[in-house]
Amino acid sequence: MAPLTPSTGQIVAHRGWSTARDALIAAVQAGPGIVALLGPAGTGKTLLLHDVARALQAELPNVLLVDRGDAVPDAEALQGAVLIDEADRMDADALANLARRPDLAVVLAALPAFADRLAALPGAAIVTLGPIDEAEVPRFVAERLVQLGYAPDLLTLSAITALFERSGSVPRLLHTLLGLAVFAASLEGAERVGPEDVARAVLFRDGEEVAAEPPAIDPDVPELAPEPVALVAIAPLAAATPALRRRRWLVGAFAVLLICIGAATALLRHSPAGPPAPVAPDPDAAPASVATAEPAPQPPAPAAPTPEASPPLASAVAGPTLPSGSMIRVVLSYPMGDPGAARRGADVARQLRAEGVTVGEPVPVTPRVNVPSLLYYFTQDRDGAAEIGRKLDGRFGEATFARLPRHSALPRPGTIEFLLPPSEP
Amino acid sequence: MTRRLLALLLLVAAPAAPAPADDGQRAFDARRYAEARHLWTAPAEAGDAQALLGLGQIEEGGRDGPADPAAAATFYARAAVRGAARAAYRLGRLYAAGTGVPRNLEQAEAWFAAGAEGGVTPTAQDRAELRRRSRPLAGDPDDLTAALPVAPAEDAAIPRSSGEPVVELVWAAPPQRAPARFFVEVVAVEDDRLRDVFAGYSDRSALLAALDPTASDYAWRVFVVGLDTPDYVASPWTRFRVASP
Repeated sequence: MAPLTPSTGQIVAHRGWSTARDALIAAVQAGPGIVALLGPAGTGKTLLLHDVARALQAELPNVLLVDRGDAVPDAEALQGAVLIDEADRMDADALANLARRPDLAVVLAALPAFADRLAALPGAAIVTLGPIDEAEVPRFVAERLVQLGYAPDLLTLSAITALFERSGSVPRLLHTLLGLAVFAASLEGAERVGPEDVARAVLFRDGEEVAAEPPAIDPDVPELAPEPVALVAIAPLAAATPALRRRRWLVGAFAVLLICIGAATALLRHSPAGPPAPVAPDPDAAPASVATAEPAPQPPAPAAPTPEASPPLASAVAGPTLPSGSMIRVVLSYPMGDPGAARRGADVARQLRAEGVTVGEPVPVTPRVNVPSLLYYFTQDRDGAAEIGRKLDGRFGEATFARLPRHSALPRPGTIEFLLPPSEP
Repeated sequence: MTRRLLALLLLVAAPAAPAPADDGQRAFDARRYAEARHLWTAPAEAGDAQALLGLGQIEEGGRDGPADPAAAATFYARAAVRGAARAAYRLGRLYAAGTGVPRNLEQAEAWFAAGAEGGVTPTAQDRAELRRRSRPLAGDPDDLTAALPVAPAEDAAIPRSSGEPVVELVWAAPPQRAPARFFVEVVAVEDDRLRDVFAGYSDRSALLAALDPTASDYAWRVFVVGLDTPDYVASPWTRFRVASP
């Protein structure tokens, strides 16, 4: 099954995209060094990285594109330019090994929080990829419609405004809502897509469209039921008759809907993570696991190994008793540039491990003020977090519940984040 | 990268690999269902998507004995995570109808979408009926309902494959009153400890998990994790082992 990120053959560029593209290509052509492409989920980092890789491969002899940060070959084996998607997944050692190769040109695509980790890499440059400028949205929508085989003025101006507001100008969300809005309009038999169709698209996406009648599928005859249709490639409208245009509208709208619901279900409503994205305690910032969209059938990688083989679980007695609760894991971080805190972090990790707690390698993060030291993210982990607090003799205060913003990537159940406070001056 | 290559290999090679799967299809097409079941059984155990799909069709249609839609759903789920788009579509229909699995329109949508990614899209009738069935569930929206591990079942032995070991994990996904995702954990059960082997989120009720070539005894479970509430509920653990054929 195809990845949810669309093919690079369907790029609709916007100013921010083109600027980032030029900057990345120039950075690699300038020679060795690290440059990061940072942007929120859905802004098109993967597409851009593939596009840049293609451009560079036409000019440079050794250009390697790696799809996931946890699948980067040994740094010793790399040469020339290497472009790494989902760099958030790279562990600290792999990142450090890359930084130690002064002969490599490295592009790292990641979510904005990755900037914290970049601070440890001297000389790393950052290129950001953000949403589409408001002024560009009408052109962007028109080009996208043409790509899909529709007339470029299919949306009314107020529909475009609604689309801009509802999508936040994030390309992936804009694409999804656009497809659903076209579908909604087709159901009404409308000639053009209006703002009310965009509103219905949002309902479709959020699954709040409640209909009236109960079921009537006969589940017993699946082999006699109409065969599913293959996705329809929609030809440009230029040569189509009005009747054909209408048929294409309907068929195309269904195809777009199906694609979009898949993407929307997996990516938008349920956070930017598709099926089995392996999760490990993320050493950075919030303990949210790095999550990306991938289709189900690909065998996912095993969870990134915990820093050492897990000792008997915190909530389990000695021996392989399977715990009924979550398996507590502590993500430990300390303020960057604070050697004292780094030492204390290592001490705390040793202490907790000696007591049977699974603890990730302490990682440096941008110092944060007025943030409680011990955080948990699920109600069910309250007791586990409190137990960690007790093991630390209450030196770092009580465990505090941290509410994640909606749509943020979910941490693994059982994740306890421990932010070591800065050293006393 | 190696895992990507493995995935590609599985997706590309699985349908065409062992001849018995093709023989099974020929027997099925000729309505020799008992023979098709026999020919598909071994390839299915080895993870052949076509064979798994075929066995699902036999079970769903009651082609070789009474219909067993629950078994069909499991075969379809295993085939779907191996890349069989048609199996994903059929599993979507079972979830939409609540046949062999709990009625769960979210899962029906998710599996229809998976099928569509592979080029098998639901019919307009499927979609229309799916929308007609949509109704909010009564009850406290904060309550999460646990999923139930289905395959591998408790104490199941799965054959050790020659390449990187993988296992299809399938669970029954009851409908939720509020948005939720699944989180799956697989641990190797060793003499004195449990060792993480796989952990990951999923929006669908099955996934393909990589195992550890050095381990043989495992346990797995699935969490239902709320998206709007900071809660989760875990299924019981299910033990299984990887055995040499």
